[in-house]
Amino acid sequence: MSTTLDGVSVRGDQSLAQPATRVGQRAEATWPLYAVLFSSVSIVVGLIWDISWHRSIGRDSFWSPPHLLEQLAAVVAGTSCGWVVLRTTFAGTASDHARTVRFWGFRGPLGAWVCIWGTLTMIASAPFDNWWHNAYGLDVKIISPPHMVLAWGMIAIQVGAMLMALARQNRAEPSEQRRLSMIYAMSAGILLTMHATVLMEYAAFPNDMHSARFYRVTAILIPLILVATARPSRLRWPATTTAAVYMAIVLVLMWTLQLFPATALLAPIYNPVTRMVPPPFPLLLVVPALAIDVLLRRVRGHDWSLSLALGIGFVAIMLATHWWWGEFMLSPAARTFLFNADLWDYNIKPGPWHYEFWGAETTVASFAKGLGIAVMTAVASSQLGLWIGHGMSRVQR
Amino acid sequence: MGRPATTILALAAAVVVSSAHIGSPDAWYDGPAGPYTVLVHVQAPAVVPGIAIVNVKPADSGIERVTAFVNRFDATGGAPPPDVAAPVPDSPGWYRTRLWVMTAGSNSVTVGVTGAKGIGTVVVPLTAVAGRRLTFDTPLAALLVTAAVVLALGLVTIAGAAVRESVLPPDGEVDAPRRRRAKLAMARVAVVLAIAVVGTGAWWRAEDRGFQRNLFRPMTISARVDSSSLDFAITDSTWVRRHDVRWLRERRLPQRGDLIEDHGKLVHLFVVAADGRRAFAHLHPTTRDSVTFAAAFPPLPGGKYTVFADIVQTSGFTQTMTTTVDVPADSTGRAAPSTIDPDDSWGVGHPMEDGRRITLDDGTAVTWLRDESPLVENTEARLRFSVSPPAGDTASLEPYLGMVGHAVVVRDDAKVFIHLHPLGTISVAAQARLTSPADTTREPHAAHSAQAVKPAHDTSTATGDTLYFPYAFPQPGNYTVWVQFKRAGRILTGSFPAVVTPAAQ
Repeated sequence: MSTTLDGVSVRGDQSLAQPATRVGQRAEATWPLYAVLFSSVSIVVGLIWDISWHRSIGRDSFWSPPHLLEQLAAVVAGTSCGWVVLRTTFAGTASDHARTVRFWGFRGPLGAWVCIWGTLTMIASAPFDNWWHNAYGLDVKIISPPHMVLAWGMIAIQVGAMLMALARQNRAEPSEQRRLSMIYAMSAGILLTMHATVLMEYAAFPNDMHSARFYRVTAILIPLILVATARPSRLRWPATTTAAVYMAIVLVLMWTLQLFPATALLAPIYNPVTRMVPPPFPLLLVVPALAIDVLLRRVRGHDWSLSLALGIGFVAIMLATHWWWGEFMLSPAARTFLFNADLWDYNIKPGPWHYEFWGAETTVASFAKGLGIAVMTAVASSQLGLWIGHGMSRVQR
Repeated sequence: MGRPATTILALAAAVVVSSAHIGSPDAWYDGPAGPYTVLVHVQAPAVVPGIAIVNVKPADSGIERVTAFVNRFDATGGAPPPDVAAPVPDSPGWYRTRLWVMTAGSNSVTVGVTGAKGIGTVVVPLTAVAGRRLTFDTPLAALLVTAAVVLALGLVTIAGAAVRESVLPPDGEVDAPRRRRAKLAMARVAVVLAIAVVGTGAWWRAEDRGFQRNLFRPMTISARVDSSSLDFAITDSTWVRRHDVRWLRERRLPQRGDLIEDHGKLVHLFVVAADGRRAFAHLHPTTRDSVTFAAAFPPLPGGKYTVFADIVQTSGFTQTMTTTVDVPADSTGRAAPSTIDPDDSWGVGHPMEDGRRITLDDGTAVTWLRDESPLVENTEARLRFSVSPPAGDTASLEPYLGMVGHAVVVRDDAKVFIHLHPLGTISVAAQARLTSPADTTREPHAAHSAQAVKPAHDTSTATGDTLYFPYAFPQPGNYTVWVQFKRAGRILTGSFPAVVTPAAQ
């Protein structure tokens, strides 16, 4: 909550001070920022919990705990931002209006509009998803059109939280900037976690790490997110902080979820789990993120030369770290609580394939070709990230 | 089961276009569950993963609890804990639960009954396949299109606001160049959205095509009848090349299990006249390679026939394959081939007496015990028949292929077909395959032998026997119900027309 003038304290003074405050200065309420940050983190925690639920218990409903957390997140984001918009529009001061943008006659911070859009998109995805389940089966895939509509809603709330933090950071006094930059980095880390979770089917398990597809898939949006969020940040190591937030969220959930007992409620059961199956160990994104921070600081010149360095550096470091990391994670040494290797879904058939690399190219040439595509993708992604980051660095409302 | 059928099955608004049993995806079972007798109706999910609705009606009193769970034939990690079925309001005696079926193929529903006699369980085979494609209804489509338009306009507006105002300092003013840039940004986002919509549409269509490709289709067969024999072959390449592991892997096809005998036969072949005449044969072809089959063909009138071939695979997966065949006219009147399987049977329609009764060739009268109320789709069909021998004949029914009676229900357009027993729609072989041998509380073949002699819901009377076949017509239309049984060493076949009306919406 705000330490200065939040919604509650303003209301306390309103009866006497309202005529003056309507035209004067009023400190900006802080709680909506924390509310959307709560929504943002709840969404990603709910999503990872939900996936773990499907991998361990199987059967769920609209009212399962992870779903409730996600729904709560949408409600909190939508109502808090809605409150900000209504209050600014109908009871806002000149200074309030000056910190907002116009939308169909209403006024609110850009981030709030993005959050509201995200909430509505999440709501709209529900009947679509329900129809999809009836038409094609229950949750056959994570990546399906209605799930992507839902994901876009979730991502919008997370982007909205970032924009709200960013606008405040960009307007803040130097004494406030570090705190707001940390909030911004946290919101960016949550977005990165969301993206990495969506990629789980293609680039999460160590078994994927000797396949060019792993590097191609990670090169699509991770450089963009890291670069775009690092550029406007006032932190010294923004991309590294963002990646660290991602790794911390996943690690905490990975170590926590497996403490809870679980029994599969659906057939067929090939692997009788006794505890929640947590997400796999996070990607080691702090390493390429560190390189991104260094390159953003050191490389001068046109953005294209910077994005070339960023793209090549990202893929090279991902390869250098995850190639060997994958081998370690498939070894018996990683089958511990700390690394969480070898924990499989209840409906996954056991077999030696658990300890093998999947989809690895059979020739060096085909792997090199895949890596080449990954580098080109990462360069384009970085360039787009620089461009978006440039725009974000100017956001003030 | 009036209410459960009308209320539960009314939920199945979508049209079922295919199932492992043609047009008839639900499983019915009437028989023992340990010391109890139960009637079980499993409404199969229309898509997989999907929800199966399990309805159970114990015939005994003093029932304390009814449970059910789904399992798959190859599950190696045990079964999920059973769900407790709740009593169905307004349908005394019925219990119901909803179970998730996650994987297509040979599944089973294990029903457990707890009561004064202890605990009894029974395994009901359930062949679960994706059988239909759902289309959008207009209100939902309108809702989603409206939501999409509003969200798209909202996103375009946000893009404009972002460029127009969001980068301005609090004291900044929007000038004309900025407004122009905002409009340009809105146009760009609109283009990106349009591309996203087109791309999502293409993705959706690709998913839909993939789904339709994977819709269950029975294996293809071909058949030919000459003067006194029928040859048929399973021509489906996934069957012919079922041992070619590489070929299957390249096409991501699962390896099909071999055939297993059901009632002592690898294939139960039904040949039903397709042009309005009532003629029928129930044959059991033999094979040396499980691809080509042959049977002696009985003397049936010439014309066009539909062939239905019931098979069971080692997984317990059952399916009915179908094709058509032309029977030459000179088949009529000749004697049955000497090589014909003694369990093969055939017959032609008999004139109806009193709208309910027919008299078979040996003088046996068969009466459909139904009232005047119309037959309604997805409502228990009341397929109860009394068999009255000719005067002076005291012979009772004998087991025919292990069952006291057989019935074949076929819609006149051949879009619905099912082979029934007093035990229901299930395959006895599949049930044995899916029943764990270690579970002594379950009742595999031993129970069926008892069933064969005296079905649980059959009643013997002084004037004959009664046959009951648990079933609900899955779709409206004109049907023929063929009833078969054995008396005095002779297999008798009779037929009854049935008009099934649509359920009230």
